[in-house]
Amino acid sequence: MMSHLTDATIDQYVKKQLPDFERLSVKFHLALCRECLKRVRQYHDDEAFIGAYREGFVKMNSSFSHIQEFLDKKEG
Amino acid sequence: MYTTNSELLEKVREGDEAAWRLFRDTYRPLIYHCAKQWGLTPDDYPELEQIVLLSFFRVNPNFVYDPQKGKFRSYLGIIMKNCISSIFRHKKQRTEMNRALETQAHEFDDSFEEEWNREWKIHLFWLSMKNAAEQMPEKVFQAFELLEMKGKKAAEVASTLGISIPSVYNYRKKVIDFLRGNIAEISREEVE
Repeated sequence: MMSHLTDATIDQYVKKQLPDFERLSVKFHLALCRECLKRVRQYHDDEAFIGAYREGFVKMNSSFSHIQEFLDKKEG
Repeated sequence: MYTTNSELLEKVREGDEAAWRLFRDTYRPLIYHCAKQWGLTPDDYPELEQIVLLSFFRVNPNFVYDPQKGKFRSYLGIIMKNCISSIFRHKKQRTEMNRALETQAHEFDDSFEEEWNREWKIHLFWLSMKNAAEQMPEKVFQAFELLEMKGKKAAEVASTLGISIPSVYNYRKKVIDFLRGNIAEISREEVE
């Protein structure tokens, strides 16, 4: 019986972190397994949601901590 | 419990100190970040924060935010725009204005709304992340933060937190669902 893709594999596949040959093997699996295809689509959807905010959030957080640090030093 | 901007502003107006602190802490990162984006120097940030927050009540001490008349985002956007312009104007009066500063102020006028809306969306996400950190179990939130915001590998996250790799992904999903729901809730409050 065909085993399903692990969450870690789907994560690396969606984030394009898999080596070419493993990526190809995942694509082959997805052509045969509807359940994993559905999970990959969901993961893509989640990644698009997070991806839309990630960069801005990290930037906002980093500038806020730098500013806070600067002001704390000034007050101290 | 989630407090809407109208409820929060009402409490601030009544002089509730805790509400004032919550209001300030909620909007401080957005105000500081925008101040930086639009070219103010760190020395100006506390002044900007103070005049932005006071502006709600300065014009009218009995100011009541009415969501029927406009989104809170727009209220705050207009206040931010006016306050940043005012600081630039004062700087111009206080010191000799150089050409770069004039250009900056001019460009800021043209692109304000688009940039403000983009920063506001990030602010909503920041707010939801804060809510998730406060309301969800610590390890659940940390797993998501390390994996998705700090770019750590799942195996590293699992080992750091002492959990299994499937749990890392399970927690990730829980936080994403929370964030989606929370952002939708906060955004709904904007139009209600």
